[in-house]
Amino acid sequence: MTPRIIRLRARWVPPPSGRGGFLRVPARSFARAVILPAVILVGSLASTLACAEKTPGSAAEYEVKAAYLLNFARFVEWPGGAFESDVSEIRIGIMGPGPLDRQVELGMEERLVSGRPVRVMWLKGPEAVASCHIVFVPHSAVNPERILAATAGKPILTVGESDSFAVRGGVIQLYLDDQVVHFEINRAAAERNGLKISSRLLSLARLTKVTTGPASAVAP
Amino acid sequence: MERSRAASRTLVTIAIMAACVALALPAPATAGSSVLDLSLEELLQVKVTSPSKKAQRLEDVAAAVFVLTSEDLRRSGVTSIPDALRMVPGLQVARIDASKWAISCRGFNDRFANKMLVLVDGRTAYTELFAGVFWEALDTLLEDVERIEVIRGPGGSVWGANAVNGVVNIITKSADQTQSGFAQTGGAFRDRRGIALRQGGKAWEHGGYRFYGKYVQQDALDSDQGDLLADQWHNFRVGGRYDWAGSPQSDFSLVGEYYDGRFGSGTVVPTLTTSSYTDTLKSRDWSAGRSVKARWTHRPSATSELAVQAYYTRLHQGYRGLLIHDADDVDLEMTHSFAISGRHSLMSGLGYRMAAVRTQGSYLVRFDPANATSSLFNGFTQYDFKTSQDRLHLLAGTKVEHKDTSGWDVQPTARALYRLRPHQAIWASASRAVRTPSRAEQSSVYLNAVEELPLAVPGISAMVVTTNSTPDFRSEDMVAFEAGYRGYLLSRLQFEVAAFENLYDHLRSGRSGKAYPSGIDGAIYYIVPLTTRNDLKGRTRGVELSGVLQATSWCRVGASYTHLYAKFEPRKGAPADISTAGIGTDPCHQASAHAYLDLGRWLQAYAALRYVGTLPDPKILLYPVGGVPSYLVGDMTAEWTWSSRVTTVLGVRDIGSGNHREFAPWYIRSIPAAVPTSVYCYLNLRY
Repeated sequence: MTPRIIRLRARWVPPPSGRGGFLRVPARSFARAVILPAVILVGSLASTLACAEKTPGSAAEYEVKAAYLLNFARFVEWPGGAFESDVSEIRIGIMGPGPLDRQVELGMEERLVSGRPVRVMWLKGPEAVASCHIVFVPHSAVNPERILAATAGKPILTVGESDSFAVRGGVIQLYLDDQVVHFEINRAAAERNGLKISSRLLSLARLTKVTTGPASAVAP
Repeated sequence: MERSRAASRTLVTIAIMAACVALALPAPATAGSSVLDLSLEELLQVKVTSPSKKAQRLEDVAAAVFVLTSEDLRRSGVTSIPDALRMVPGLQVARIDASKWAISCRGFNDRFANKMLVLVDGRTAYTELFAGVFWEALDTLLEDVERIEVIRGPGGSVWGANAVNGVVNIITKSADQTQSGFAQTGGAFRDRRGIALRQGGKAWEHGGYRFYGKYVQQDALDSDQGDLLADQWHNFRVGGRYDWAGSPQSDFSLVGEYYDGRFGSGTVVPTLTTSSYTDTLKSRDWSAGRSVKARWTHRPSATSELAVQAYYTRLHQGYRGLLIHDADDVDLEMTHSFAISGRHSLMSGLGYRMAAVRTQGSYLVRFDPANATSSLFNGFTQYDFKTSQDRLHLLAGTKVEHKDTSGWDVQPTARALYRLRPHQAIWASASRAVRTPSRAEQSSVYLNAVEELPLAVPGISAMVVTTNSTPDFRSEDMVAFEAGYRGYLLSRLQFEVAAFENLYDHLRSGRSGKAYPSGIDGAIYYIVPLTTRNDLKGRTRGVELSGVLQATSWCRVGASYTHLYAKFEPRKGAPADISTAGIGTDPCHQASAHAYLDLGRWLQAYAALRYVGTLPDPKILLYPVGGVPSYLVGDMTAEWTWSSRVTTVLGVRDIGSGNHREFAPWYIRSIPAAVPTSVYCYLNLRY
């Protein structure tokens, strides 16, 4: 270590004129290029240390919703044949131009769900849902009715966020109440798609009151 | 020689910056601490921050509104606020040199443009000196910007003086949204480059903070004649924000920043000592400042809100050889909004602002008195009515303002929005807005030019033209009429059109007084005094069109076109040969097109084309300025995502510029730079 320091010092002797020095960088500009970033650096390191534990009390809306998608995947059982094997990937389709950040999508893919790798896909239209296990229908999706029609009866967990998504035949609807994301489950729709929802999920959910059934939702 | 020195300096700086970022990365990557790992029970405790709430409300506004989202900012790869504003349809954005900009809305563009109000988190970025914005002093970490709202058209009824032609509102994310770390380094070879770091965290219960640092530097650009200018600059900035949401009803935020920059300038100045009577002043200028702002918001019920805000800013700038000044502003504001019933709501507010400016002038510009303090009181109220199902939305309000240097001003507005269908609306408005006088207009003496005499007079060498301001310079005022349509034409095509007619009165002008001979340094000159007057009136009208098409799930394209027509004439009773140096110079036509592309999982791309029409010669009487030819340039950016934490942005800006210049300044005649094509690369880390 010591020789390196000495060598650096040896280079740092300014020429007699006093202007310019290390690699012809004027002293003041050098000071700015090195010292100021160093100040930022030290500050940021200090704050990294200061906030070692992070339990977020608040987070971006779609990051929370993405976390829900991962949790739903853990607490829903798909019928036999929905997956190729015990370790094959679980495919989450996001309808339309999705609101999820690329970083969040990649973060989802870095995690395992019940031993399965996660794959996030963007779906261009209702016809693409067949290959997915979960389909997320955001507010921006162009035609939610057609997506529900395309998924009805197939082993697909539909998750939406529009107001009457569950009533219209979606399996899970995310909704905001006092800035907290909650979820509503339509058990009839889950049964129709052959999905078994764990009691833990059901105990935390609001359940859709089934009146006449979701038939009206199928109309385009 | 100069070039290679600049290049080696660039390499050294980039290397040092990269090393700093590498060191700053927390060694144990904080994987596993993300929201994505929370359990169901934990998720039910997390409050979501929904940034879109206010942005959605803006869609119902009876005004021409454009919102740049944080995603637009990220995907376009911009690293400065002026570059971001180039994406807004209807704004005039021109780069003067490496650090100076001329930005305006609906005309009157100049470096000292004074009819657009710029707010950063509710704090006015405004200088009492010339009633405009020093863009070289305005910056932040763009990663922390939640959105930039741009309202074209008058906003005086809420925002007050100077929101004449438009309002730019830069809103940063709350500390909740920036709890993670962010580091960025990189840049362009001859354009900006730098390093930025941000770190967030929790402090006390329900509270979060972040702070950031940013260092940017740039080498000198060439002029369009090919000479290397001395306009290199560097700027260092640190800032932070603390947000506390102690109860569901109230929250508190504290924002502060400090910055210090050094800028080079080249300015053509009048002088008596050379035979051409002009000289080039090359100076190393500085611009430093600090600000602190506190805001408390209380919501006693779901339909009412009370907000109290106070801030202090200090700007200290030295344009050596021209003017050294510092300005302190204190601003207090209170707004209250509540719903009278489901359909009627009322918003009102009170504000006070005190601005103290101290100056140290030169033979070119000086202020008399050198130091002065002005204060401004204002109050506004705005009434809002909606019919059932929001079919019709009416809004009426006014601001009443008193400034001790210009007296009372009333700025009313009436707006209506009618919804044709759920996603289609037409709107119209009529408003009045004023621009209060700046110190330059009320108490400065400026040496415009030294010119040869048109006819040789024995014993007298030249004429010296000066502008003397008058303390009774009054507010400029405008009445604006606007109408527009906004909506989805097809389910994927969003279209917007706005048309306006602005009628201006009492605009700034110069009236020449009687010339008299005077001896300076042993020679005799004619002194031609111009006096600042409100002798000009005029009108501007224009149309702004913009559309965005979500062509496929991976491709979003958009286009915009702006037409602007302006005509000015002396007011009744004013002489015909008045100087019209206050009206700026603007392109008649501007157009742009852009595309956002998702090219697979790892690659996102952005491409844009910008056309700016010819800037006409401002034809000021004193010296030739000349127009600026039209130009068409392109920008391209690609963002490669390596992992959920690391991305690389690679881009080219101003493709095909052919070293064009974008502006010809005439008031303080900075030597304009040719904007070069620049290739840049940034490395972003989110941890």
